[in-house]
Amino acid sequence: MSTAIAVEALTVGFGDFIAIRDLSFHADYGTVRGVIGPNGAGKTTLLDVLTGKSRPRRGRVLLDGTIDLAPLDEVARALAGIGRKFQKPSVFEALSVWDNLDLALRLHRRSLLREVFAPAAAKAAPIAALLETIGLTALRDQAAGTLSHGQKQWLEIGMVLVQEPKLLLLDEPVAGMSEEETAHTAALLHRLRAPGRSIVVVEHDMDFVEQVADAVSVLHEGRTLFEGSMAEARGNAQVIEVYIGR
Amino acid sequence: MIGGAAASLRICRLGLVIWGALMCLVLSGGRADAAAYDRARLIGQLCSAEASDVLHGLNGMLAEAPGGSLADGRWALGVAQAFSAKALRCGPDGHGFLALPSGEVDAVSLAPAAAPADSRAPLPSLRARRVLEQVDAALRVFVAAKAADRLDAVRTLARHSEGVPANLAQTALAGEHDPEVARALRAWLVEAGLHAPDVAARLAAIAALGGDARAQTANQLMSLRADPAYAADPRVAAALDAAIAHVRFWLRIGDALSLLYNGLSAGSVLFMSAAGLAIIFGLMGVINLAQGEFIMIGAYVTFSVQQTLGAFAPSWIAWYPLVAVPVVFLLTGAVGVVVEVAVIRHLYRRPLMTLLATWAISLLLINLVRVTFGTQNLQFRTPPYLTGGVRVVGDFLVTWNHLFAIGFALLAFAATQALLRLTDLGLFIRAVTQNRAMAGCVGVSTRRIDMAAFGFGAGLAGLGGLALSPIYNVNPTMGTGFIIDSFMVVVLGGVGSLFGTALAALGIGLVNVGIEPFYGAVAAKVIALLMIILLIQWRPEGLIPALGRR
Amino acid sequence: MKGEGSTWLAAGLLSLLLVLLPLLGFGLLPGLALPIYAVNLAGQVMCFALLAMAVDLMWGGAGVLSLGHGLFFAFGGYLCAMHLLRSAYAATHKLPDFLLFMGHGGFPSWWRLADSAPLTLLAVLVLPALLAFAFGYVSFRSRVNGVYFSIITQALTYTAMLLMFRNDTGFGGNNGMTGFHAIAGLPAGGLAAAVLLASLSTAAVLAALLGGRALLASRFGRLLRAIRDDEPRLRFLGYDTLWLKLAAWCASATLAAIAGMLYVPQVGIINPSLLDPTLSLEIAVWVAIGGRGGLTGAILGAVLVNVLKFWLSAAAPTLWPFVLALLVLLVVLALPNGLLDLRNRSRAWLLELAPASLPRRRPAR
Repeated sequence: MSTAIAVEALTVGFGDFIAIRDLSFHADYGTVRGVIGPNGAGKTTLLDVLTGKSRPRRGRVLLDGTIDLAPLDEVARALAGIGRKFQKPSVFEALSVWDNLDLALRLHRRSLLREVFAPAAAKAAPIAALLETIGLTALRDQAAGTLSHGQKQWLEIGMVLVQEPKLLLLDEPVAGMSEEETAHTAALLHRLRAPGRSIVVVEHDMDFVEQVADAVSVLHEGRTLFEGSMAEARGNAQVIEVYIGR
Repeated sequence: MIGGAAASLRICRLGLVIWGALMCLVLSGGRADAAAYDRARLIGQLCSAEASDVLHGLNGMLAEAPGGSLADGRWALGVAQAFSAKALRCGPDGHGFLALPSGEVDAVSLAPAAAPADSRAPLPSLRARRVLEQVDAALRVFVAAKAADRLDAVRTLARHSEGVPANLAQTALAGEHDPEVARALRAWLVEAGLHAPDVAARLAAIAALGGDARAQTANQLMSLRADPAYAADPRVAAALDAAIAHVRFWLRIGDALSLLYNGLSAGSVLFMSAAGLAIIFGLMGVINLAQGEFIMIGAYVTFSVQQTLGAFAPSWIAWYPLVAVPVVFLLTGAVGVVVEVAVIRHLYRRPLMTLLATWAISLLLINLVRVTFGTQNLQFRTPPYLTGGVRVVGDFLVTWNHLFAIGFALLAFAATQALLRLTDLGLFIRAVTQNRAMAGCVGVSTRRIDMAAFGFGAGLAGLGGLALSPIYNVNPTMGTGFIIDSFMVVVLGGVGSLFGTALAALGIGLVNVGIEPFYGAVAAKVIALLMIILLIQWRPEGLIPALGRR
Repeated sequence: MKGEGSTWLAAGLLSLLLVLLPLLGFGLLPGLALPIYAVNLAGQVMCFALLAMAVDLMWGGAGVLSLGHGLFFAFGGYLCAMHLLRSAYAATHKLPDFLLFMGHGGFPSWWRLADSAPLTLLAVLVLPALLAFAFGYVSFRSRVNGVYFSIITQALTYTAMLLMFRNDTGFGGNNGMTGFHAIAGLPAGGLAAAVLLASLSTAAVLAALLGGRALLASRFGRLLRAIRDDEPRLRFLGYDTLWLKLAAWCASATLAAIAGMLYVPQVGIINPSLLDPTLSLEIAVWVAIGGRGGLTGAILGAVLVNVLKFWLSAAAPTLWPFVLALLVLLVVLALPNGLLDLRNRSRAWLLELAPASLPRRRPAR
């Protein structure tokens, strides 16, 4: 198990407000890492820093243990293999389900020109396969804006998946989903596990995290409070104090 | 010609005044103390048939003018004026008599005495008249009671200074109390000193000129440097160079201050227009292209207030800029509220469409005003306290109308800051600016805040129109020039910080004013735009970015 | 891709106009003839339609509103005017007045580049795009977008206007450049030139419509729409949107420059009024009134507003600004996507009248 992403002594702030304070965190290939914590613990901010949306004040973020991500913008990070599903479903509402996936699937990461002029046929097979996986084949020509909330979540997961990311970041993937949809998503996550992929799930639904994650990090006020298995976390007095107990 | 006639009439009247003073002296008997003049000899010379004698006598009077006592001066002045008024009667023996309105007196003793029947009234020759005029002025410098008379005399002497004794101005200055007359004397001294043969006098005059920094002085000194007579003496040349350097230094300081002042006034107007724009942009993400038209409306309301006062309370008309303040703010604000309620609020989340809608509103407002008031510039009756100014240093003039705009903007800044920081409305505006959804959740009526803020921004722009009505041409399209500059201010200053807006307004005002004289107004605009594009590269959120998550 | 029907309708009408212009202009159909000014007017309106399409490509396509397209329009126009003046000089050996006023004994030497028609055409295709590239690069790179971008483009054209108003800039100052002698060998102001130019303009609109539709339907067009919907999301998918926007922006600028090149010989003069921010704003207004995103709306808006303007400015000049302002407010408030919305609306109303009324949905913005 090699380290996919490592965060060292990270501090992030906005004005006077410190969102993350001296945080260290890592996630390994072949595993699913859960990140939990109360609102304002810095979970989404952590993902923002990993994807390049926010800039840290201090600390380092290393991909594969060697690549310092600091000089890379969000585009370069996406091309380097970091995929993210946002908390609020972010799909292109004016485009069809198929076109959303067509844009997400990159055949030529090094050349935008070749990507733009890549024949549609070259993308057809992988997109069709993925549509099966996320169960949206029947809706392929429908505008993404007309999908239900759960369907949008899956479409976005599909868009991230089709990027074949090394590091898959999921921000509250089951928020607002029915129990059935949640179970469906959990099954989907199990299938996504791969030796060359590291998955980080930020989620409030603890049962879901226990179901999918190998290990969890509990964040509190911008710091790591606990690292270990979900079962241990449930028994940890501090965790109960700040999070579970309330 | 008419002007000349009037001037000579004035001099006549002055003469009569002195004439009257002399009469008083005569009636009071006078005091014959230590005579500087040999009165009898002088009268003899004036009564001489030889033209050279007369001139000699007059030149003597001129030379003695600074030396004599007050009584002597008055006597001499009386004689000179009598001579020029043909009131000097000369007996055949060379005795002189003065024909005063009250009767004839002996010219030397001033005791009543009738002139012999065969006495004549000599007519001063043309040359004598010229000297006589100088004598008259030279004496008046010392004896005239009124400062205005003395000033007139000094100016006359400065115009015709040949033959005037060198120590006259200096002596007069020593006894002079009126500052204006003293200034005129000093200027004359300097002028005289510049042409004095004496090197020390020249040096002193050059130094004195150097102390008075004006563009006019600099030109005067420069023309002297071109004069070979001055270049010949190394001491004079060095003094000239030093004086020119000194004058130029202070002129430059004055110019820099003028620039700063004009920039400050341009920035003040920009601030008034941009502050509302920035608040509205921060709050609603909307750029109001009709902001310039709110300025225009403010100016037109000011004009209407002036006209109303003129019709119903003419005694108050000088105070129309102050009376207009609440009227302008409320009326322009009301227009803003109507615009917000009728149009802007329906376009929430469609900022680009709002841009077009506000443009349509500006088109509407311009043409409404055009139809009702016409296209010509409005004629404001600028009150006396807003005209003119005071010279500070160099050619830097603090003009009251610009000072009015600057003071107005300062007050507007303070009032806006107070509104934003101290009132509930300000708290709500700041809350909605930072996070509209959250503010809505905790019970802030975002719609009412939008409306109030829009009205406030419009009212502020209207006050801008009031502040610049004594400076700019007021016509229906006056607002169109403001929107681009105002937006530049918002870009530069960042959103959500009134301080940033003020700073940016001053910066852009200074850049515009500062570049204009050297490279022209167009270059100023080009450079300002380029600077802003560059600044966006470096700090996309403006000089003072708003805090908070976005 | 929505609006296929209107595209074909518009293409059909444009083709018809293309056929009718020479037929009616030269009076080849018995009893039916267009006066020269009508031919000329049609040509001018077509240039405005092309200009509106250029703005729509960016606004409807990528959600980026330019309020400065008058700059590229004028750029193309000035280049064309330079060529026409040079060829007039070659024929008559008379220097244009503005050069005489400036005390020049001849054209500045670099004007010779405008002697060749192909070279001028190349300049029209390349130089405005280069300017657009430089400006777009610094703006898009620093993530200037939305209202910010719109106003900065407006400031840009405003600055250019001030620059061209100066006599010593060398392009005729506020009087502009006029006195064209011949256009492609045909006497300027003659019927043949008018028909040729109007037909060329119509053909350009037709070509731009078909080409533009193809572009918008391609993956490039989808990427532009993705930028309009959610640009940051597209960046997180690994697309450097800077280059996508720049490509569309430069293409849009070129289209505007072509429109300007065709426009100037038809009006016979160019002056800095084309750079007036008001013109650039009006272009956006045409697009807003016609409807964004499908190019046909842009054509519709440009044609409607300009025909109305030509008619009203002659019939009731003081009324025109009021009509325009109220039209804008009406469209912006009631028809969020322009007149093309009317069709969808009327369909919706018909459905509502039916007994089983459908749930009402606000139209997408």
